[in-house]
Amino acid sequence: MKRLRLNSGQATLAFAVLVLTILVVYPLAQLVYQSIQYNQQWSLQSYLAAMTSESNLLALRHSLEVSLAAMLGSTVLGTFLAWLIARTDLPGRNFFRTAFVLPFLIPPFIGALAWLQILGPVGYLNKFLMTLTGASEPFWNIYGPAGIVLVMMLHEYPTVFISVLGGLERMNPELEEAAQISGGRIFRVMRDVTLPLMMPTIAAGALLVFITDIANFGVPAILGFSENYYVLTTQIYNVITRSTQPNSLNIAAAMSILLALVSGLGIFLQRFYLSNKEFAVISGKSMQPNVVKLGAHRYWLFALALTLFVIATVAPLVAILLTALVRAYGLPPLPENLTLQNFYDVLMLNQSSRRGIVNSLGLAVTAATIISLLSAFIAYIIVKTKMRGRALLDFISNAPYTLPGTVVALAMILAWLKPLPLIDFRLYNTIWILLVAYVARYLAFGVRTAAGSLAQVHSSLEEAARISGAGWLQSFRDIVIPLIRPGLFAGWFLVFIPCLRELTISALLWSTRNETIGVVVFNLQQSGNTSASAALAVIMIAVLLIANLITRRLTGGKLGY
Amino acid sequence: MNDKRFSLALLLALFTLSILVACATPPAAAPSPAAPAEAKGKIAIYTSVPQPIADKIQADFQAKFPGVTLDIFRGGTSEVVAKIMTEKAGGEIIADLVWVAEPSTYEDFKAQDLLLKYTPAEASALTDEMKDKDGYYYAGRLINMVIAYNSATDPKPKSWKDLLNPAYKGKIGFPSPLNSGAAEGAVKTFADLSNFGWKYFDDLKANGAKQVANNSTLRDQIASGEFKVGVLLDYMVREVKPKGATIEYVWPDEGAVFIPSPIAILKTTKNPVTAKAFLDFVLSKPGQETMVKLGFFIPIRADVTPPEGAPSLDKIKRLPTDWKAVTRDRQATKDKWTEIFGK
Repeated sequence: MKRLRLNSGQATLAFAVLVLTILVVYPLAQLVYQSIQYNQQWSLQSYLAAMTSESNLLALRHSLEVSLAAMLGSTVLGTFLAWLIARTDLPGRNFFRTAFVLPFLIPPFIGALAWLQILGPVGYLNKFLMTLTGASEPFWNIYGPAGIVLVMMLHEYPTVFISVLGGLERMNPELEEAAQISGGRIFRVMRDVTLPLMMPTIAAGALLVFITDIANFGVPAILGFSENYYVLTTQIYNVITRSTQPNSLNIAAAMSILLALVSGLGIFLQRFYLSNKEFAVISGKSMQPNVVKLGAHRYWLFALALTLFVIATVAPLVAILLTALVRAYGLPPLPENLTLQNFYDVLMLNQSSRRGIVNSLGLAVTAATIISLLSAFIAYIIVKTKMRGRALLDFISNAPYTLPGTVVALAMILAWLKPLPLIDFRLYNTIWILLVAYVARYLAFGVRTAAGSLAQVHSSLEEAARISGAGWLQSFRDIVIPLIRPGLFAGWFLVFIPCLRELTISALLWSTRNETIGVVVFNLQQSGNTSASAALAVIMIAVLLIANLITRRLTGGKLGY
Repeated sequence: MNDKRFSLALLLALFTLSILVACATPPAAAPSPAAPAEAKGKIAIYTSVPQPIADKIQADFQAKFPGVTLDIFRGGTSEVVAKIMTEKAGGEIIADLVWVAEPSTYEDFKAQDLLLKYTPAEASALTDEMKDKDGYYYAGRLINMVIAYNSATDPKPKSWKDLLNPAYKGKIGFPSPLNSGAAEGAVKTFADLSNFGWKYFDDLKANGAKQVANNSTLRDQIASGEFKVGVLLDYMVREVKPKGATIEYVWPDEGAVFIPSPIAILKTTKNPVTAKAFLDFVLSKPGQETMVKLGFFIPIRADVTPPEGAPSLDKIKRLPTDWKAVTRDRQATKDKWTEIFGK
C-alpha cells in the first residue's frame, strides 16, 4: 500500500515535470540555443549583430525612456489618488475607489487606439481646438514617445493606486497620531511619516509598472510604427515578421534575451523592495485612519478627480465608439455621417474578425480549463510535499508570466516551428501553438491561486483519508480537489479574461484562420482600416465587460472590477 | 433465456450499426480517372491586397467553387515574404499562392526556385509586360503609384515635382518602402531617373515629407486632412470615393509608377489543381470584372471595362521601372531611404 502511494505521488511529480518541460523549459532552452547560433553554427554573432545595430540600441534607449517616464507618471498619479481616497474626506470616495481602477478593464492597445481618435493629428480634441483657435496645426500629436507615455501612464497607474491604497488602509495610524500629538501639522505628518512608511510599497508598485511597460507591445506598436519610433518589443516584432535577412530569427532571439535581462533587473529590484516591506506598520486590525479634512479644497479636488476619471476611462471609450459609428474615417461625427455599417462589416463580411471572436473565446475557455487542472497538481507538489526540486517547479511555472510576452512568443516559434518527431505534426501555423503559449503564459495565475487555497487545507484531512485506506490519487480527488475548488474556480477566471485580451503573444503566433480578436483589431488598424478596427475594438470591450460581469457574479464579487 | 435474448439483441444491434457505418462511409472508389481534376479542398494565399478587398475576393471565389476553402493571410509585402521565409526555415511552406504588390519579390523567389511554372489558358490574353517571360508569374491586378490629395488642398498638385511646392510643407506623406513593395518600386524608379535621382528625396525631406507605415494608413491620413498630398496607389482612392471620403488623385504629368502586381503558385503547393484554378480565376474575364467591381483595380486585360473614371491599361502614361534592378539593389534602396527618412 505504501509503495503504491509513493508511486502515484512520484508519478504526479513526473507528470508535472514533463508538462513544465514541454511548456516552458524546452521553448526557453531553444531561445537561448538559437541566440548562440548563426548560419547553423555556434557563434556569438547574433549578439554582436543585435548589439551593434544602431536601430536596436536606439530601441533599447526608447524602451528605457518610455518605461521610466510612464513609471514616474503612474506612480505620482497612483499614489496621489490613493491618498485622496484613503486619507481625505473627498466626496464620492466610494465611487472613485471603483472608478479609478476601471482602466484595467480596457486592454492598453485599445486605449492607444482610442487616444489616437482623441489626440491623433486629426483627433476629435485636436480638430475641436483647431476650429476654436483657427490654428492650422494640431494642438498635440499623440504619435511618438509622449503619446506612448501618456497611454501607458493612464493604463498602469491603477497598479500603484491599488497597492498604495491597500497599504494606507492597513497602516497602523498610531504612528501618525504620535507625530500629530507631538505637534506636527497634518500635511507635515503625511510628508514626514506616512510617505516614508509607504515608500517600499510605492517603490514595489512603481517597479511593477516599469516591468509591465517595458514588456508592452501594443501601445508602442500603435503609436510608434507610423513615426518609426521603435522600442525593444516592437523592434523584435519587426525583425521576426518583416526582416527578409538570413539569421533574422537568431538575431531576434539574442535581442529577446537582452529584453529579458532588462526586465529581469526590474523584477530583481521589485522583489528587493517587497522583501523590505515588512515594517511594523502594517497591522491586521482595522483602525480608523487619520483623515484630512479638505475643507474648501474639496471642491476643486473633487473636480480634479472627476476629470481624471473622465480622461482615463470615459473619453477613450466615447472616442472609439464615435469612430466606429462614422461612415468614412475622417468625417466629423455628425448625425448624417453615422452608420452601423462598420459593425456589419466586421461581424458579417469580414470572416477573420468573426473567426477572431470565436477563436479567442475558445482559446480562453480551453486554456483556463487546462490551467485549472494542471495547477492543482503543480500547486500540490509545491505546497504539500517535501519533494526535492519543488522550489524549482515554482520558479519554472512563474517564468513565462514574468518574462515579457514577446520573449515567450519567440521561444514558442523557435520550439515548435519544426514538426514534432514521431507524429510529424507541426504546431507552428496552427491554433495549438497559441493554446500552448497561453497555457504556459498564464499557468502562474492558476498555480498561485491553487497554492493559496491549498495552504489553507490542513494535512490532517488528507491523512485521515489515507488512514482509512484511500490511495494518494483517491484522497487527492475526493478530499483535496473539493476543498480547493473555489481556488481553482477563481484561477479559471484569472486566466480566462487575460486570454481574451491578449495581443503581444498572439501577434507573433497567429496564422491564417487562427486569428485572435486582439490580432484582428491590431491588423485592421495597422493596415489602415481605422473604422473597422474601431468597430471590432468596441465589440472586444463589450465582450470583456460581459466576461468581467460574469466573473464578478460567479465569484461573488471577489474577482473582477 | 434472458441472456440469450440479450445476446441476440446485441448481435442485431451490432449488425445494424455496422450497416449504418458502412452507409455513412463514402465509397472509397475514386472517380473515373478520365474526369478532369476538380478544384476542391483547402488552399492558402498570402497577399498584400487590402483586407476588405481580400475578403470579397475570398467570398466570391468560394461561391464559385463551393468545395474550396480559401485561406487568406494578409500583410505588407515584407511581412508576407518574411512569413514565407520563416515557414521555409521550418521545413514547410504553407502558402499555395503568393500575391504581393510588385514583381521584384517574384524575381527573388524565382531565383530561389520557390515558384511553380504554369501557363494558364488566359496567358495569351495578356500583354508581355503583364507576365513573366519564363511563365512563373502573371499580373493579377494593376496598381499605380500616383499623387493623392485632400479635396481641400490648394493648389492641386499636377506633377511629381509639384510635391516640392512649399505650399505643402510638412503635409506630404510617402508610404515606407521598408514595408510596402509598391513604395519600394516607386522609390527605386525615381532614384534611377536622371531628372529625379536621390536628390528628389532629399528635396522631399527638406519640404517636410514624412514616411507612413503603409498605403491604407496614408490614404486615411490624406482623407482626414492630416496630410495635404501624398504618394499613393490609385485604386485606394477610387475605393473610398463612393463612401464620400474627401480625397482625390491625379495622374502625374511625368507619368505614374506602373506596377503589375503578380500572382504566382508556390512549387511546394499540395493542392496545385485548386491553386491553378484560383490563378485562372483571377486572370479570366469574369475574374477581372470582379477585381474592377470589388477592388476598383484597372483591369489587366483589354477586354474588361476599367472602373468609372479610370483610364484603360494602354492609356496610362508610365515611368520606366527596372524590376530586376529593384531586386538587385533592395538593401541599398532601403538603406539609402533610412538614411534620409530614418530619423
